[in-house]
Amino acid sequence: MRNALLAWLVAASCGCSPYATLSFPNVPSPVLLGPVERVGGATASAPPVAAPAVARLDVEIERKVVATRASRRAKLDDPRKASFAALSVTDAQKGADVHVDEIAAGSYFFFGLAVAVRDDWVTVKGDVRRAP
Amino acid sequence: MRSAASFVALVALASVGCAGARTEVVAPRAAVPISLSHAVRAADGSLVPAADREIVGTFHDERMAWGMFYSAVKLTPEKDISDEVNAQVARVGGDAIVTLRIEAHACAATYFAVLNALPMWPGCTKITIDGDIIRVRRHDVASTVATAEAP
Repeated sequence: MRNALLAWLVAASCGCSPYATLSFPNVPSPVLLGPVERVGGATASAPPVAAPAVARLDVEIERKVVATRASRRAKLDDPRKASFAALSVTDAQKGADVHVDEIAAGSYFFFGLAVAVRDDWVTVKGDVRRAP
Repeated sequence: MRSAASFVALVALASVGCAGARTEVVAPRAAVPISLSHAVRAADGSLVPAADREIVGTFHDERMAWGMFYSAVKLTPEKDISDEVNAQVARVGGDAIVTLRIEAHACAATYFAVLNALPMWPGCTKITIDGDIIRVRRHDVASTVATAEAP
């Protein structure tokens, strides 16, 4: 029980470290959420005439802490991971847009007899299409 | 003896728990482009250059997602930010949101270790969403012609 409490304390006190944050600061092409593609209100093309997807973006930013009485292991994804993934699937071309179809965010906290796990994560999925 | 075993079992049960929550962030009724990168397209399809944009405000929204039964049941499966996007952009006269950032972390209710053993105990995740609201300078045809014909 004492081990569990110590693990809980270690894992729960990780609020001082960075959270799981998803962003695409270095991507030269739009990564779009929602139906509007352009300034002025142009919406996404109807499916029959929409440009076909040329690639798929699927990336997760995670911050996970596994703590026991004896150790604490923290895994924090590089905040640039999402940008690298987007640059990879768009070939860093400005002529390709990412149309996001899912952004999921969540967390859980597991508390066992001698271990505690805290996990925060944000994932994004979307199609890469050539800009019209 | 039997009561001691029951006590040990109860302590063991109360020493194991899990709580959490997840949700999806959506914006199906947003009236302006929302980009998670700094890039956004103008009406003609070209990328808006940095010189033609100015940041006129910041977008900020915080949501709480809830779950039960050890996070297996999503009480808030979706978080629609459309209304907040439209309201905050309209308030500052913006044209788009860029560099949208989404942050997730477990909230305080998730850390009640003993109560986490109960499947009905809710877990929650705080979702923080930030971005820059920009206004795009429009180059209409008349001003372009006037500029071109100026001596």
